[in-house]
Amino acid sequence: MANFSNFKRVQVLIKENTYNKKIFTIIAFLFSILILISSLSNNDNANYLRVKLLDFSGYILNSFYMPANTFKNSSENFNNIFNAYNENKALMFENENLKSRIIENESLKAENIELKRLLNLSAEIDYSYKTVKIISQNNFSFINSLIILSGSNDYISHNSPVVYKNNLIGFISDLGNSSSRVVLLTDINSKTPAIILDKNIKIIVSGNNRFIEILNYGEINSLEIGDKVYSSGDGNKYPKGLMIGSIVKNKEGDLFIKPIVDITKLNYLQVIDWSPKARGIDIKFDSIVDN
Amino acid sequence: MNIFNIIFSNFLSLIPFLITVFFTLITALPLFPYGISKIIPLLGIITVIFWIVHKPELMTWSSVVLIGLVHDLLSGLPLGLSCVSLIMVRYIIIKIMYKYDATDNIFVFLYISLGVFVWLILVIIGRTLLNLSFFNYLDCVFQYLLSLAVSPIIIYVNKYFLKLTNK
Repeated sequence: MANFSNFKRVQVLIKENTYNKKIFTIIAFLFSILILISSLSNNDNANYLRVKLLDFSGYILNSFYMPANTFKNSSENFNNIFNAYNENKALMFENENLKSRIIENESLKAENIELKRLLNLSAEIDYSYKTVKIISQNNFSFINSLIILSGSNDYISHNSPVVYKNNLIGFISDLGNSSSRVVLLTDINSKTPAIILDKNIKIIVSGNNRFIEILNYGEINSLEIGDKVYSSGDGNKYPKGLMIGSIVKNKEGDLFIKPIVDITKLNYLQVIDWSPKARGIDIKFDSIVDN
Repeated sequence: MNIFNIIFSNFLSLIPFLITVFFTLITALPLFPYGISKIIPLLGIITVIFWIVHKPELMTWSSVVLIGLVHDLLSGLPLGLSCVSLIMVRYIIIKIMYKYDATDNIFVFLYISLGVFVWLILVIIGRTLLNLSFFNYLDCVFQYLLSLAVSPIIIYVNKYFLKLTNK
């Protein structure tokens, strides 16, 4: 009994004497700076720590995800029920249009194959993908990323493109064993080679944490609102022909690219197998480069 | 004092840390509709500041560093950036509290306004410098304003847990 009381008294004394000491501020500050430098230096130990922490946070987030998602979906379901009639009418109209498009596309596809055969073009990269669950979405104004519940255990590789129904979403930036981080196209870290297929204009696009900006201003005079922007496949960072978004204009008259997909409505994404082996690259990579 | 009392009293001292982690987790979940999803109030940061003001002995430097790490990990910021910013916020608030030892709701709100502002500015500067590129800062302003608008609710929720720790 006396021991516990003494322990309590000492504990209180320690707390009173230490929580405001400058030395602790300095130690904590230096420790944080050390973590920051090690995470930026990209060394093996820091990467290992980050991967382990990412996996751990993945488990915790997944346990929170189920009840939170049920709550979110229930409110959306109410909204869907109220709009069901109008949506059905619009979808029926869209369906008729799509049916005629399918017929058109099939003839174009056949013609395309025939022309490629005549020109003796080499086959483009055919890729497979894996469907993954989103467990966390970053809700901050200064960073655009999300966490998915799949990692190297599911044969996902670093920098793999992440898509949703042929719409490019982003790439894998941190790869854990069971969870990974996806940096979205709208993030400032994201730079993507793109093309406007109708006009054959190649551009580089970059996120600004809100929309996607066009970086090379020299070649965009003929761009118009509504033009569709696709990945160009240059640099082999992403496959060719994935939809990035459509061009919009802001109040100041600047052109931006607005992604077609609303990421907040998605629960699942697809990660393309973009490992060198899957791309048909048989040159042996250095393990540092590959990771 | 039996063993359960010891466990219970230690658990109570962990409340500030746990509730902050909980609020940080909420901000990372895909719960929010498009439009406000990028400017969600910084619930975790507001909670940290609340506890720094009311119970600095429970929201210690180590707790602040750990919460910063959790925040960095969930948000995708470089590990350590939130830690550095939170340490600066704690240092500034503690310094001000030495001179104006007031913990009324109005003062707590002012501390939160200042703390969130300092944290956001430091993170924005860090992110801009680390990426060597500017980005759209308007959303940051709205996120700050939304955080201030929501902070009275967070103060009210945390006051309930504050009563528990005072028992």
